[in-house]
Amino acid sequence: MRRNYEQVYLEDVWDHYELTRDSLVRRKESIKQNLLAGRGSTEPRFLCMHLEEIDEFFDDQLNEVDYRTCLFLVAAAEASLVVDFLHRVKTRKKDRISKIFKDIFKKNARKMKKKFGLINIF
Amino acid sequence: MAKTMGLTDFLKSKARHDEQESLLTKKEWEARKEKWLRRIDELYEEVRSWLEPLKKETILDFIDSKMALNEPPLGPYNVKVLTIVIGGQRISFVPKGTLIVGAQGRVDIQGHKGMRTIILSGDKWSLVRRTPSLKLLDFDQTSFQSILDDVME
Repeated sequence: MRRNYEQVYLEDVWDHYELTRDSLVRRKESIKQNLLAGRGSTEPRFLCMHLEEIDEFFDDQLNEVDYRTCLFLVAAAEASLVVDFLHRVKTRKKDRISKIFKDIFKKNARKMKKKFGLINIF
Repeated sequence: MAKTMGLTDFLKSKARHDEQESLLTKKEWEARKEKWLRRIDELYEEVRSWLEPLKKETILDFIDSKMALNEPPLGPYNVKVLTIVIGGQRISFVPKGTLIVGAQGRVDIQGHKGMRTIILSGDKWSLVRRTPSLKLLDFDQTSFQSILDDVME
């Protein structure tokens, strides 16, 4: 079966997540260390921010990365289910699950073509 | 942690590491705190001098209080908070701390309608204007009036 999108592995999502988190944590620590070391910093984005606010700012950014990654993981998992569903339908496999999927596909063909999502069908 | 290193040695090495990381010695941090507290006193004195005639006319009043701050290299300490009472409104000068990016200290001026920030830059206080672009203005009677206009209803 052909897919017209680039395959994304969960490992890729996780690697990106860890890299982004790591970068943010390092940046936060670098700014905090500069402040705590009595070194001046003139990064415009952080000007006039207190040490506590630096923490809050980066905690918000880290939370955002968490939310986005969750969303991406759910989307990737859903896409994987869609691919598996269509693969089973198109290859006409004889196992029980494939037959059930094929019946679902027949009953909902028009709807499926219109909206390529499993959630509505189940 | 190295297996051979006991808890005491481990904590000592961490303390030494933090001291080496800091460019300022404990004494210098203490001096910075003293300067920060002194500048706050001077700021309040200046604001009081501007408003003293109105106090005499009982148009406004001052309330002095204290609040606790705790900043890692300085430890816990108390700072003065100046509150101006005008009619039913209060405008408070609330020190945020001295660990500020690009400044040696920050005081937030809080009113019913909002908050404005002044920072200690070098030896003088400056009003931070963020829009349309970040700009520092001298903190004087004119800028103080614009602050009051922003934070008072």
